[in-house]
Amino acid sequence: MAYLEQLGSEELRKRQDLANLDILTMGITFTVYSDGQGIDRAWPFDVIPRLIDASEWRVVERGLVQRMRALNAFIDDIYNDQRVVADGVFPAELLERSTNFRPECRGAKPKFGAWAHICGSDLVRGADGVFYVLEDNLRVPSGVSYVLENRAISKRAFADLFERYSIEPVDAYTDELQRLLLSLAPETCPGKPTVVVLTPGIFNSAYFEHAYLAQRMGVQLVEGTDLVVGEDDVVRMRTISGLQRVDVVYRRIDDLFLDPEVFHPDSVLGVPGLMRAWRAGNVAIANAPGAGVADDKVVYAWVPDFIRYYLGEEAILPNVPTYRCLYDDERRYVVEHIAELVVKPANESGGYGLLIGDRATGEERAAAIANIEADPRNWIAQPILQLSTVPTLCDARIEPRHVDLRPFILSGAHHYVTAGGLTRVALRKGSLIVNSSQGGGSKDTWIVSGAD
Amino acid sequence: MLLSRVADSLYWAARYLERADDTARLLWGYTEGIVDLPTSVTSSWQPLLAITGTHEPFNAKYGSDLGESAIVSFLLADSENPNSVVSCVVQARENLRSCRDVIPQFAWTVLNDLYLYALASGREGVARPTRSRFIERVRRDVERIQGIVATTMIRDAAYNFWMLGQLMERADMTTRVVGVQAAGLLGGDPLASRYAEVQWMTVLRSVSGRQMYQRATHLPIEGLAVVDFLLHNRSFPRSVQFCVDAIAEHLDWLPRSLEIRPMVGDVQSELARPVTDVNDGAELDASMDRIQVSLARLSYLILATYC
Repeated sequence: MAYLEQLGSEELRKRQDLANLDILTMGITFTVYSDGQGIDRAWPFDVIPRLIDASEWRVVERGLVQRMRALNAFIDDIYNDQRVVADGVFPAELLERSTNFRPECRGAKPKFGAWAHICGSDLVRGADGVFYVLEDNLRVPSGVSYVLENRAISKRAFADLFERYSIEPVDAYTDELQRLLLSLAPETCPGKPTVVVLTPGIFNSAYFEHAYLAQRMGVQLVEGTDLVVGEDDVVRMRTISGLQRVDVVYRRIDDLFLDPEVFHPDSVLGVPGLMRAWRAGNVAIANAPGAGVADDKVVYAWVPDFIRYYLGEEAILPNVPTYRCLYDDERRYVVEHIAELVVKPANESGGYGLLIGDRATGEERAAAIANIEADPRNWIAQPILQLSTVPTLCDARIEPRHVDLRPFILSGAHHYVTAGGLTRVALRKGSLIVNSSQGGGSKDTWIVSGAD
Repeated sequence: MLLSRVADSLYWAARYLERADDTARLLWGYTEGIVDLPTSVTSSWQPLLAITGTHEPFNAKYGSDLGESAIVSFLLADSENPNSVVSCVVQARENLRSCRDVIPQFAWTVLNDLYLYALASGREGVARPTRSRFIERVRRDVERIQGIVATTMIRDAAYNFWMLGQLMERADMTTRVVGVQAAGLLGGDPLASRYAEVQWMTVLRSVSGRQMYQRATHLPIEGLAVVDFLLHNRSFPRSVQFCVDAIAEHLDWLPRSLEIRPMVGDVQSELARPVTDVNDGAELDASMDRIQVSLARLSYLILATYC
């Protein structure tokens, strides 16, 4: 960090300009939705990297792996014996009302007991310096391509630093992902398995990432209409040489759009019969259908209990204290203290519907309370965390800005955690919202030995 | 391995791009040709509608206004005309969007740039004084994209589909340009036939073939030789014969292409029928129609087989 300060803001500004140019020419974009129209925007990137000490990161890694082991055990249990409910650890009522529980997945036994193969967990560092887990994204988490692209950009901007310090590499991710996907192939698969990435198409906000990952792994990027499931419950893709068998589908489509035979009948994004093929064991799907049952801001509140229940361990990474509006007493607390809380819908992503109590107007608060009373299960609240800030280049000055961190965890026979992850930064002064769709940017994250 | 959907998108991206380029060339050749005609000859822009097969949508929009500005605007910049230069660029880009991982990255950048330019400046191409600037920009960018593909793309099935689309469109467009002359002869001003040479020169210009015609044939510009050159010359890259030969070669690289061979043969034999009287407009028009139909059937069979 001292070296960065020594560079001076003018030199940093120059490097930022170079980085911006790289982003434009490399075509790194994301899509924003406004008035029903998707617009491609250049990826907002802050050139000053975020530093995390390697010894601290080792603890975070262990905590994330522990969390994934417990979450996968919970999902596998929920779709099979439901011991966790029978033993009174998780309320049956919650399961019945869960919007992400898929009865169609009951009795399924994915390889290695792994359902959430790819997870992006959001971490924040509180004023006490501790990393807290904010949420676990287990459905179709995105952002990892930006981790890799950010590194590519910062390597060019700070070639001198990479020579001098030992900064842990992140490039192995796509190889690890490919190894994981290959390992998921059904036992009956002869020879080298065929893996595909299933995208909803070019209008999806994460299409850039889908194309990026497919390209890096050298596998086909397919849309629903490219796949067909036969009477024999086997998935095949349409190629110019005819139909070719597919063994593993890395899907970037939500459960409900995956298979119109089972879920939304009018979905044109999915593949009719895909669930049949999966249940017959002829194809692996990552993440497994139904894995989202544990990606729920309500279920989140029980994760420390799951770690105790399934692993007999205490959580290494703490949760943020969470009030569940489902319970009368906790809801009353939320309504009375709304000005001190962040209120979130349990099943939305991207910061939509989020209310930050101390910044909201009286009207906004009243509207939020009405929403909570109308559907309590769908809402949770957490104290407004004093998020840590890191130095960020704002115009020509270095200023503190709030950040969070999304590392990615792969789970199969083994686990893998990215060295660092996606640091998102709220570029507006004082803002806590880091989503790229709402004025957030990102930084490269460096795991270094002896960082201060 | 190539996905059928990607093969289809590449084929159409290349076709639309070629159509944009060919239409731009055609408009330019025509603009120059009309300038060469004495003002005593009533010149008509109507044959251009016949060439691009857009009579009906044009009439629906403009009715009886057959003036230069209405026709050029319709063919160059009208978003309601699916075959206008601007529409073709838009559709080429739409098709290429979903196969960006297949096409050289820089080709995409150039196309994207052309797309932004065409949307913003389509109107500019309508007025005669600024027309050449717009047309040259379209031609230059399409040639750049084709050049990038030619010099940096690996020769695999994706490349074959790209080339099939390009060649199919070029062959089709050349027959149409010959056909427009026929349309001119059919309904033209009796005075216009006196300037037949100017008209045939316009035909050559419309496919950028004037200089090469003279190098290849060492003949003055005369109808029969021009038609023979545009249909049968085996060394001019925009002749129908050249395109069909190249289509056959690209098909040879694809799996299961034996099933398509007979249809290529049909096009070849249609093309081999000699044209004897280029002054009989109806006859010439019918010959071009037959070639176009055989090309369309080949195109349909290729897509039905692979996509």
